[in-house]
Amino acid sequence: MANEPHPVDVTHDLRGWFYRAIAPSASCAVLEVGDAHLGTWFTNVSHVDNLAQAQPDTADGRRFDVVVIHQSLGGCPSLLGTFESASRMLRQGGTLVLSGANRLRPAGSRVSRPADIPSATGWGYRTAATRAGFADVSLYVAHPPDVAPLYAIDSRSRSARAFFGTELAARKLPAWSPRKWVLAALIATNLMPYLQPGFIVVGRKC
Amino acid sequence: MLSAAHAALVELGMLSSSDPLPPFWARMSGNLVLMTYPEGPKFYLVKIGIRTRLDREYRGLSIAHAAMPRHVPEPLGLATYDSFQVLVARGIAHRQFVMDGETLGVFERGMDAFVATSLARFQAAPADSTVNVQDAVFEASGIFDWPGWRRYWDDAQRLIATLPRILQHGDLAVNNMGVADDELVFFDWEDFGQVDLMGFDLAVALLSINSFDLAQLHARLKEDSLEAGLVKRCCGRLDKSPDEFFMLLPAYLSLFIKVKSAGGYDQAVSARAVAALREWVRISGAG
Repeated sequence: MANEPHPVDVTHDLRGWFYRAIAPSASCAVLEVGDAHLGTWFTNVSHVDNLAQAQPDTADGRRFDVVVIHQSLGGCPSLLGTFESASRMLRQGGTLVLSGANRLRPAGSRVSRPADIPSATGWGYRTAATRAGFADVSLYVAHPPDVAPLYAIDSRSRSARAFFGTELAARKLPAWSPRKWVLAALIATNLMPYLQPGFIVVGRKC
Repeated sequence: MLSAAHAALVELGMLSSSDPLPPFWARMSGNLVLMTYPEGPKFYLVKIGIRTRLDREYRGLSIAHAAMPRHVPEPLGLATYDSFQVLVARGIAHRQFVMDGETLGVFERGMDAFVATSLARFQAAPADSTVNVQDAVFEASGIFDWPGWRRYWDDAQRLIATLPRILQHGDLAVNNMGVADDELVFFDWEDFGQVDLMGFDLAVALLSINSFDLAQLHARLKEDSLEAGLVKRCCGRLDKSPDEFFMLLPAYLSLFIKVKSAGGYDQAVSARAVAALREWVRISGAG
């Protein structure tokens, strides 16, 4: 076991692991918006529901090392507003992580998506983060796309092609299967990550 | 954690310190695995120890890669960064192993080679500390009330005493296998060397392709099957009979339960082995 504090047993609760993977340490100052299960991984977590009204602690100039926004707009009217509010709370060089839905994959008719969940295309998330002043913006997809994903896949082509290509090979579809051809084309053109149900956006405040 | 992965790749010369972390996909199963894809054909596995230390895996990869270079990833380094143990290995391009008509022969050849290689190259040293088989059987007997375990152990220990001590992979289930160039590749050596009872890896592999259904495996061992052939050839190398392999299944299952429980794996994993053990007791009438 690594020598860092884990308040609860990470063996049995892996939710929120990717946020810890991205963060610089378990003891960094983290602001959580939405229920990201950060208590499993971090020792210094503050929580707000309404990011729009949150203010950095100007008394000591304290800002956060990481802001994690999990499936929430944090009370902001738009995705851009959420990114801008997060930027206010971050120190220079701090890390933003936001997870949200893919607008190209609407929730099924029987599942209503709460209005406060961010929804955009992969390109939309990137653009909004960049417009809010974040640099090194990267996009990941979680697989399976539930509360405790096993995989996180960098949307860049080398990693995404390797992951989805392996997954397709494991499906053992017949060589003549139209589904296989379509999936292979989506993988070759690296569209596969952009068609997944949700995204995790990571950016650095500069 | 990503900064630890970056530091490891820089120290091993895969990246320059000014380069960002290459594209990757990550898998979390207690320890964090990153498959990183720098420019070019090579890619690297970077494992970050969260749940367990990675010394066992590094040793397993080192010994096994030396013995089976095409079948086991090459370990490149093990070090500590940001308080995490980080293991780096060269990736092997492969597809996930799925048991079907096409891969039957691949599995059979691969397992035969694995058993032969492990016998020749994985001998335990006197100083190797492994899980005590009697303790494991005793503990398993308590899980489902097996009053006949002592009688079983009296017979089993005489047989075990005649077997060579061979360090086992420890988790040779099919999900830890891949196929590259029509050959099996063996991954995930985290549990290497915890068990030294020869036949354990073969038992886990055979149970795994039979979904841990002991009655099904028993039936397959009785007929002219892939499983029966593998067991017969393994036993031939040890001068034992297939019946003796079947007789050792409770010992193998008990070790599996103990290793999985101690390793903090999901209880469902152990539960399948407990059900198989209970079925063995029923079939053999050794209750």
